[in-house]
Amino acid sequence: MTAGAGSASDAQVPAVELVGVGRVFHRPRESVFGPRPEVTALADVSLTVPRRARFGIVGESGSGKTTLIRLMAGLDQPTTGSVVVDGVQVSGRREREIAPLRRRLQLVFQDPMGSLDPRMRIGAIIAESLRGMDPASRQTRVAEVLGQVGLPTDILRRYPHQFSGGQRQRISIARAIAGRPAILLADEAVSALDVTVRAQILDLLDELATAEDFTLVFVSHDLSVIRRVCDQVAVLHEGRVVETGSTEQVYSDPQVDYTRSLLAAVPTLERGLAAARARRAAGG
Amino acid sequence: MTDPLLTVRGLDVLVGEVELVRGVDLTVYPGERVGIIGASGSGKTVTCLAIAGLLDDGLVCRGSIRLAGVPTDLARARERDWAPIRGLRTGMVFQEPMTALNPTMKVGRQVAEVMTRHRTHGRREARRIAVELLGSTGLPDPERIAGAYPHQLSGGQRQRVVLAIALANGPDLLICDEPTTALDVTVQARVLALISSKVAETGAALLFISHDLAVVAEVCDRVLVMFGGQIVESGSVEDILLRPQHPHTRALLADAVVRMRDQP
Amino acid sequence: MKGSPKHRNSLLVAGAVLIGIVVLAAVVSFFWTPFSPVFTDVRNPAAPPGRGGHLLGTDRLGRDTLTWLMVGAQTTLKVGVIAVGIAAVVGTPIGILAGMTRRRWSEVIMRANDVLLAFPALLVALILAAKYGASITSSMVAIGIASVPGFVRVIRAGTIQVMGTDYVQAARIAGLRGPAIAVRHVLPNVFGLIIVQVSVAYAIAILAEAALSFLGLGAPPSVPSWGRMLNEAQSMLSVQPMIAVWPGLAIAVAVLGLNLLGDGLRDRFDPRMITRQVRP
Repeated sequence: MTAGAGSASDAQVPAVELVGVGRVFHRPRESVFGPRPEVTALADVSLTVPRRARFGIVGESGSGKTTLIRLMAGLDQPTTGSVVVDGVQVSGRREREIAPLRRRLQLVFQDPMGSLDPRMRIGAIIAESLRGMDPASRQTRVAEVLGQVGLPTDILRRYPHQFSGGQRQRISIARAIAGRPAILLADEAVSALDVTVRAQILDLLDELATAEDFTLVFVSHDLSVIRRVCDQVAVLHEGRVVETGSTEQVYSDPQVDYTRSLLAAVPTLERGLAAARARRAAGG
Repeated sequence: MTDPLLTVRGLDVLVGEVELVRGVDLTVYPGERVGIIGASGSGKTVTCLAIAGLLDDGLVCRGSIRLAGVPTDLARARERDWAPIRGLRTGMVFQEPMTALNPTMKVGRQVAEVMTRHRTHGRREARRIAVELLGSTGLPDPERIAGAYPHQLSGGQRQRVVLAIALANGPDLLICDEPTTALDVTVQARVLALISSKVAETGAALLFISHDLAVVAEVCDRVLVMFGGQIVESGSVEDILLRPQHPHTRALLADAVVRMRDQP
Repeated sequence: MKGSPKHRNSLLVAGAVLIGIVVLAAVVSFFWTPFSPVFTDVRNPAAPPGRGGHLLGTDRLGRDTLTWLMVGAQTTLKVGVIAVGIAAVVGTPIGILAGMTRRRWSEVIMRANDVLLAFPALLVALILAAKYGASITSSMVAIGIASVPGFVRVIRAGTIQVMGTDYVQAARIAGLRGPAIAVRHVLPNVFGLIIVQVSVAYAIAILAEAALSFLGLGAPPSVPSWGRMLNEAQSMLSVQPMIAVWPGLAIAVAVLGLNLLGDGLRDRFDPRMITRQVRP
């Protein structure tokens, strides 16, 4: 199966299409006979991620962005609305019914510690999504993706704990791209990393998106990170999309107050410098 | 000039034969705000753990760490020497607020405990001050928060609780190890502002560890740059940002340069 | 990261040596024992160690203590293999299943498990003894069944933790289904729990076997068992305390050995323990 095969990959079909998606969680009852309290994580979210787009979703924790990404990945089901990923209806389906989608969509997680099985060797981790391939071509592919993410091929027999956070995130990306996905979801993929490593991983995702030609959906709380890799962005606030547009446009001319507050919160060297100068002027 | 509050001289930290930190000299004056910056593995966290006396077993510490008014050299202090210092003279804020709090204890009690333990206040008094402290960290409805368990609070709220504990006994030195790394940018901005105003208000000195120069610049006056277990450069925030000398400092700046352009 | 690899290795060796002693005693007893297990030295009942050629003394009927300990080791090993084997082989898959299925099924499994937990081993033993006759095997099966709920609980808790990790989510996204996730990710990561639970269950099984034998539901009086020896020694405590000390010591050696072996094996199978992280 090649990445381009099938009508699902037709350029006309959007990579992800959400229509009126809502997700309500039930918390445990507070009293024996009382109703179970409801928490609305997402309310009436409609989004279209065009094929081969680099699409950013920005929002604070609690904005529903993790729920959104879980819905796109088919790891959770919406309460209302429909989720169509790569032309496959995900909402209302059982896990085994969306199996064809699995190869086509991959996820890179936030925590480079928790996303790799500590008891598996790197080679086995990366080969996980290549099951069904014959061993020889699987090996070739694993070596190939390791090269793509900038890791040497002699690490196949090592374990995750032997690597730094940045290296682990590279391994995570290698696992994600090994099966040549059409869509790559990145959930806060650089938030746990140092600024230096963060810059390298963002560059890597940027390169790979171009070279491998996949749709990138990048979720983060930090607009400056999104801006570095995405051309389009949706701003999520309290379970609703409050603003969408091209990254440049949202960045330079935010339309809603919430987006402005997100922008203002990003620490910058200029502001730090200004703060230090102000303190010195005040303190003498 | 006043006497320094914290004087570290020739600090080495070793695990077996490997030197994690080598020859670190560091002086913090009362009320001063000092930042330590470096990538992960640069030794900045190990340095700060050594100063707080929280090094893991198996890590050996050489050199001298002096805190004003404490007769023992903290580099050689034993656990019982630390008891009257930790929580009273020094306060500590960690990267991960969830693991820094006891999940089975209401947060109000955790704040009060640090005061009753050092006998700075009686039980009832401590309880009242705990609620006040929680309120002063900008937590809404501190009475209710005091009765909540850590898992019922958000990450930013938990970090405020940790800060309240660190400040409960009016420490001379507040040590913050990547206190906002686990937080969203908006929450980070508020917690940084809070740390900054609290330090100004109480007159405590601040030792602030981060990998992000932009964050350090926001709260500190002086910055030490660590690389490979050593301090490679130090100076005022302005000097480091505008006139970096060491190539590693320049690299750290370059990684933050995207953000420089990003100013709307 | 506490303790050097060398230190952990020595735990494993110590455990293996202690268990090795028990296994060796059991194997040798098939071919040779100092005295016949059925021989009663009527002139030297309750003898102290050394008297009448009895290296560790005799019990109140004059049976050689060393002989009984060696033959009793067979019983002890049988206890381990059958009782703990049943518990682990039945309990682990049920625990993993309970931890992986939807909440409703998980609840059903756990409530059934609670019922079994509340069902005394003694009653199971009585039922089995009534149907198949009292024997070591029937008492061991009873203890095994009674030990299942403990495994289910511990393994389920561990499974739930593993299922919450990102690497399991990654496996689901890679298209792995339940059984594959259970074998590739859950089982290796709860393996440490299984080993610890085995050593705990084993200790309980040895003591439970002693109690059942004492009640006549386990090993018949002619079959040597450490538990039976310990129980029978109770009436002789004031006369010859050493009679109680030897089987007590043997039980302690077996349980301690298994615990050390369990800890050692758990660390051995944990890659994080084999190769230390190379600090940058």
